[in-house]
Amino acid sequence: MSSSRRFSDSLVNALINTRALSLLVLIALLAFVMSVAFGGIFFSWSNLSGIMLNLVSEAILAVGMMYLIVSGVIDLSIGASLALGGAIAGICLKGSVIFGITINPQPVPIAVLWGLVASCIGGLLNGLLVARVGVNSLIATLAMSKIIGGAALYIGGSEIANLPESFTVLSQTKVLGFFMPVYDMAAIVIVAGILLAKMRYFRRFYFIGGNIRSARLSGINVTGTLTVMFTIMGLLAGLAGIIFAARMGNASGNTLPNIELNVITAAIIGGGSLSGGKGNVAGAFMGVIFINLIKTSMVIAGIDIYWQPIIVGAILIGAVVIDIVLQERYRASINLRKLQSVRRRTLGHQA
Amino acid sequence: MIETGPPSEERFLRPAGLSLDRRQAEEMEKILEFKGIVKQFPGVRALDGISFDVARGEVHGLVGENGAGKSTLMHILAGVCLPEAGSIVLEGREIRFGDELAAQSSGIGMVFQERSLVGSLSIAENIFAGRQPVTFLNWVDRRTMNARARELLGRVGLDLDPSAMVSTISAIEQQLVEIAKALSLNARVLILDEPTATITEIETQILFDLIRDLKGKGISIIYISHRLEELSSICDRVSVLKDGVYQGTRVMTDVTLDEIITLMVGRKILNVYDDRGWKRSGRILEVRDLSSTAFSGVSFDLWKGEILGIAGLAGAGRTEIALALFGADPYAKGEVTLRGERVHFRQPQDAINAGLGYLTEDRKAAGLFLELPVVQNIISANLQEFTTNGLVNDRKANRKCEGFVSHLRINTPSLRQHVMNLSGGNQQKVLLARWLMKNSEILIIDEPTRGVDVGAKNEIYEFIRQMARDGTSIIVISSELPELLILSDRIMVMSQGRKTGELSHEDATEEKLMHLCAGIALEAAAGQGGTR
Repeated sequence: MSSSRRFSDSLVNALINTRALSLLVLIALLAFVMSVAFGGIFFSWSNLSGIMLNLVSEAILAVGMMYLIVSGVIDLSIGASLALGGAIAGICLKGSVIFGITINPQPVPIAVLWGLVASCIGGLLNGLLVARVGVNSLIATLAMSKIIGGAALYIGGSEIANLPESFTVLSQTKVLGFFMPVYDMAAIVIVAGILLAKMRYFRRFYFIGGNIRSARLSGINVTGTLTVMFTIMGLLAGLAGIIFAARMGNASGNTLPNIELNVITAAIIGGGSLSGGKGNVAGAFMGVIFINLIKTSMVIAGIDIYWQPIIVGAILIGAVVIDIVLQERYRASINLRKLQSVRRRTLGHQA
Repeated sequence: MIETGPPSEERFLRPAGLSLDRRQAEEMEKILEFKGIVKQFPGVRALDGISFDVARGEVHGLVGENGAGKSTLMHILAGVCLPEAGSIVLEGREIRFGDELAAQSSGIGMVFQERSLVGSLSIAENIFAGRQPVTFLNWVDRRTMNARARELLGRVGLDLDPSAMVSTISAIEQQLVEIAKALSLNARVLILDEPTATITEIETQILFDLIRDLKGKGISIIYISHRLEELSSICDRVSVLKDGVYQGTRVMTDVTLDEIITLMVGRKILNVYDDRGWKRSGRILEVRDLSSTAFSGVSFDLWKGEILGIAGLAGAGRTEIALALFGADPYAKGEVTLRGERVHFRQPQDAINAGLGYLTEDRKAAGLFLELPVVQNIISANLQEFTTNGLVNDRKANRKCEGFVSHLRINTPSLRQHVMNLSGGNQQKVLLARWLMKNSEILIIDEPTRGVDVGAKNEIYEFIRQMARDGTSIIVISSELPELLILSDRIMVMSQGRKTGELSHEDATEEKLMHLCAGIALEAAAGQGGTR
């Protein structure tokens, strides 16, 4: 009897915990349906390569966002950080005058480094505001998104065009059918996913998001960890911005507006919870793929573009509702188990 | 499973001749000593020169009313806050104050009242939070972690899979996991703050077995509890605080509960059933064969002016019945008749309009608006009474609330005080005031005195009786059997979702109730009792 209960428990467990798996099944189903319906248009190497290339920025950001969401915080400034990273790199490559300082054209590695440093500083400021000063992360990063976004616009303007080929080659090279950014993304997702799943330092995120007070009492350096985490988020945003700038051959102060909301959507669909303590990188990645696949499918199917946000919104609500329903059913099953365990103990105790 | 074999029983039962007398207690090796601890908060001296010691392998009770300074003292011990004067000596070495991590690593383990575990992580990972065993590159070594967790779980008598998620285990299991976590830090002094507040009586026995076992291994336990009756069964000595002043330490076998209570409150308290001459007349509520996912086939009646107690272990379905009656939870089957009329409330609003009230067991999460002032909390269920033309009449509300605050002796500096700044007892009274103002015909009170100090407890009992005298029918749900015996005219017992018995106050004894709670029929229990 107890073994069958364990089994049903673990089945529910699996359903709740492996959002990445259930999304993978949905993605496979959708891909199958689309291939049958539209054949060659959908099921082509170039389409797959295109889809993957288009979701690179979101996927890289979703990794960092999942770290934050697991820890019970959020970052609305990542879109601005992305733009800033690209703009700073662009400015360094082309040379310009900002704040009265003349910048001579720099070699690619230096330019990339400055771009990353700039967005790391943005992330660090977020971290200090949230972890040290104690500002709510939503407010702190909302404010920072204005500040970083403003700086990016000031520096990058509407466009820094014609970036040198020595830079664009980073993203415009094609290897084995995919452009480089797809490999960059894959590397980031895999490494970040393993770190969160395996490394002790990153496992802290779950304790901080699950119960911040108890994390402190368990000897976890919450302030330091949160600061580092926001800095990592800034770094990833800068990286995404630079990869994107290299792909487009230009940079601007307002690349990919509102991308942070798409990323949060993907992370929640991928199994994250804004109350913290749960989620993983694979889920976030699958969430990004799922949303982008739906969008692409709608385009191929010739559905009016205005339907896209409506469908995405509906999916977000659907994911959250499924979560609620599963949790409820799950709780009921624990209640049942609780009764049994009390009984078992009672009898054992009296014997 | 907890070891309850004969050897450990023998070791820990204390027949009169073997009991710890005062001289022996003095000879015991001191492991921990408080020396003149003073803590000043703005306007109050929270601790005024507290000095006492704890022996190795001793269970040392720490009691006092809410606000007596127990938690403050423990927070100082655990390095959470700094005292103005005094010192604490642990194993001959003075503790450095204000450093939680240093306190932990020097062997002080805290098990807090509120749970500190993360539900979505495994038991093992929770035990080793932030200190998981690692291999190269700081990768978490799950196999070692689980093996070590299994060993620690064994030490607290739990046979659980260490890789199971914490959200899948019960309250008592979580509590034991917390103790395992403290043990993993090599705690030699374990602070248990209200460990039995959220667990049932039988689970309490499991906890006590563990405490005795740890004690036998030389671990000292500081045991904080509002449930005084527990002290005599688990503590060797007990220290009493009152208003931040140390009242003395007593060897448990030399002292009666009455004496401890007198030390705590400075007055005698009458904890007896109050025969207010209530006669059964006018059935107001009839419940027949009520069933849902949490309980099944429950039938009972409620009469005008009656106090009906509902006893049972946590998870027996008591609260669930209340929520179903109140329209907060659905029920699948059954009939509810209110004043002779069939009713089925689908939402609390309907139940309230029909004259029902429900005072929640979890006042912080489901009862109070902690960030709102006292007055708003009291009127929240009666807003229409104070509303004219869509605007709340504050003056009228204040006037009415002042009456309740003084009647219920709610100790608050003003009506504008935020409820979160009040003590547990006063918070509970604020909730009582809310429903008193509503003047419900039937009031369901779930755990009326959870986390409430002795003085306020008796006041609350008196208010409940007063309401019943005034004609309100009251259902009291409680995990504390003495409380039910004091209050109830009739007690219905639940076990595992079923009603297992009903006793009038003349017939009811703690023992009978315990048996019914455990789902053992009374005849069988009587037979068992005879052979013991």
